[in-house]
Amino acid sequence: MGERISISPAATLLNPSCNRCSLSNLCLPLAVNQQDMERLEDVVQQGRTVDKGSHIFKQHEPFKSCYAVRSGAIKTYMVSEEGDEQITGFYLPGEIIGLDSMNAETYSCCAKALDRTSVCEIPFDKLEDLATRLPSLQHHFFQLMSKEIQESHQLSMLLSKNTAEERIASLLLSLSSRFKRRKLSPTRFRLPMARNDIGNYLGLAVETVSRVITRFQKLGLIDVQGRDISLKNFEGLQEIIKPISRCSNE
Amino acid sequence: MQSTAEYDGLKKWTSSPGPLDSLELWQSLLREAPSLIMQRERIPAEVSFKSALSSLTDEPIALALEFPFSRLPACYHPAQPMAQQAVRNYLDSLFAEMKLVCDCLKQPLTLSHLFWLGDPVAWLSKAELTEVMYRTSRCFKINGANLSYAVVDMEKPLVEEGLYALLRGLGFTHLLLDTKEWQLAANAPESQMLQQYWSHLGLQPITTEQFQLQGLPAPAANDSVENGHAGNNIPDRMLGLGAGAWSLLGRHMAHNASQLDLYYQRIAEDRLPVSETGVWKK
Repeated sequence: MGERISISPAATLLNPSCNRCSLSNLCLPLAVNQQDMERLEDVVQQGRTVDKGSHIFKQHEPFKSCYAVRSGAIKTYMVSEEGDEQITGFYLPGEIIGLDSMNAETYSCCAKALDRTSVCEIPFDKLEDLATRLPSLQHHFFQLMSKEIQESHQLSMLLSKNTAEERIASLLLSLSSRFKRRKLSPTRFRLPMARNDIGNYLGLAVETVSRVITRFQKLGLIDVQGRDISLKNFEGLQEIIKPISRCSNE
Repeated sequence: MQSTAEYDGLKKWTSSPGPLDSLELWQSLLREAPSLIMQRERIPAEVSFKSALSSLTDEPIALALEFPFSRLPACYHPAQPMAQQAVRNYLDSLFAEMKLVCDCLKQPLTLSHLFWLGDPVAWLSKAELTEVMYRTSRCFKINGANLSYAVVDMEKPLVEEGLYALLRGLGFTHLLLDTKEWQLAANAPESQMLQQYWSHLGLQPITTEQFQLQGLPAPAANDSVENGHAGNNIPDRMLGLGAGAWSLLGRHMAHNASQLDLYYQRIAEDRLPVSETGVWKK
């Protein structure tokens, strides 16, 4: 079992700053002007590292902070009473975890690092206080929340009625758009998660995931080398997803 | 000397399909007679209402939020900055009223029923819809087990699938479809989209008796507000927030200021915007 995140000065990046962060156009600083950046930086605890397999937070622990992914990747999952794990999301740099727990007193899921990961901790009470004084931050905050809530339920819809091919195509296209948002290649990227995690997330057996990926490869839609993916026929993948079941890919 | 006032709310409901307000809603849910007579009390309205709020025990309560944007002159042109500012001003005042009400309560109350009236989905952005639910959850206890019936009033079909997902994610269980804009062809994309969310995620449409829903499978016979189908066990404590909103707390009634200027003025003075209270009699 991985250890929880520990706050070690030695692990802190040298002089991290929201102002200088390469993800500032995706994360909270997007909504803050230069004059207010210092106030945001007083709230955000930047640059804490988490080892692969370690938890950032666990289900039912008291909620106190959201976390922005600075590097690496994180998966969130819920644990049933029977001990079964159900993955609920994957988070890449520039994205924020914990938003779905803000209305509750405890975290609704666990968050675990898929790789050596760096996160910025955002204590919620301080963020809420600052947001009341910065309307643009408050609006951005609720935009992030609404996006999280919407995508979670769009996924539920996807899982309830779509084929394995549609689910995997949706995931690949979603990852593509998220890499594109970070100014990275939308057609060549490395999957941050293993195939069994993909299967768990999409409600598919790992054999089904492998079968579909192989089929996509044979159709010339993608090229796969381990976890490295090349999307060869973007439009072909989009054709697989029916318009009414398309997940938010913006 | 007490005075009386007569409110023929349900007659308006049946004769003209305008937006549903909280008085009509509570009357429909309680299945009361069309007219009701309110005996005004001798003590000031705000004092009376505060007293009623502070005596509430921690039993479940129904909450209705009024969004009167379609009646605001500033909102006649929805895309204009003036309309967007008017919406924002109203939301800020609504949240302030929410806090004022909750400050009067002995403890946060548990919501069993939630209603958003005035077609807020047409006026609010996704971020604002999320903010309203978030602020509500900070003032009241909302959890899935207790909140069995959460209804949002919608006048037109949605064209964006993501909004249905957001509404379901915010906790809504029902969509109140109360205009003829919902007369859809069976194979219309809007109809198919709603049906998918209805059957797969449980976002269920309910209608009024004024028209038969076309283009969608008929809701169950008791799925109408007039039939009192607001889930089961509608409590006798019904709180209305917003300009012109009505609250029924047992036999005690309260009516918020309908004029927006007066509503805003009261909020700005940190006062409850209630303009009249009374005892409800049939």
